[in-house]
Amino acid sequence: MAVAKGRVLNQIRQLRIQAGLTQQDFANLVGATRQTILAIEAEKYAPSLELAFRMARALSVPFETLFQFEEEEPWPQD
Amino acid sequence: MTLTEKKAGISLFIALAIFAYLAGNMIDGWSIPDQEARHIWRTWLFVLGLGTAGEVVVNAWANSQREQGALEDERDAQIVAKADHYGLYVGFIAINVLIWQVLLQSTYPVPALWTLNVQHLPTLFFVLMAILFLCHGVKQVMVLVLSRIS
Repeated sequence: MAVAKGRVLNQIRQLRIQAGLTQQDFANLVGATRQTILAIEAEKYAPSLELAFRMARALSVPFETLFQFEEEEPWPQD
Repeated sequence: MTLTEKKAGISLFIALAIFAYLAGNMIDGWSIPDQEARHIWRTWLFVLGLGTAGEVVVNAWANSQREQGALEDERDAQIVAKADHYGLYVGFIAINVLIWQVLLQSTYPVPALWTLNVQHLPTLFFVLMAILFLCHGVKQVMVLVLSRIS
C-alpha cells in the first residue's frame, strides 16, 4: 500500500512573536543559527526531532501545538 | 551570514588564488608548454603546501569565531553534506571526461585539435590539478548557494 506524502507545518513564527522573542533570541535559546530559524519558519527546512523538541520546550508548548503533519491527498487508484 | 558561509567564501577565495598561481606556473598564453620535471614537482609541492596552509588558517579562524560564540548547527551540517555530494558528482563527471579523452587518444593516436593532449605530461598534470580545484570550488559555491535557497 502506498503511503500518501505529506508536509510538516509549524506555528513557530506566531508563538515566537507571542513570546516576545526575536529570531536571534529564539535561535540562542535553542542552539541554532538565526538563518536556521528563518528557514524553519518559512517551512523550507524541517528540523531534527531534537531541535524540534528544544523549540517546543523553549516556547513552553506541547510538540503537537508547534508542529503539524498535513497529509496530501493520495493519487486516485484504478 | 553564518560561519559556514564565511568559511566557504574564504576557502573559495584562497582556492582561486592558489589556482591562479598554478595556472600562472603552467600556462603560457593558451597552451601548456613542455616543462622540466623539476618545475612540475616544485609547482605541485608548492600548491599542496599553499592549500594545506590555507585550510589551516581558515580552520584556525573558524575555531576563534566559535570561541566567540559563532555557531554551526544541523542545517549547516546538512548543507555541507549536500555540497560535498555536488563536488563529488562534478569530480566524477570530470574524471570520466578525462578518461574519455584518454580512450579517444588511444584510438586515434594523433590528438584532434579539440581534445586535451593527455599524452603531454604537463597538460595531464594541469588538468588533474584543475579537477581537484573544480571539485573544491563547486563544493564551496554550493555551500554559499544552498545556504541562501534552503
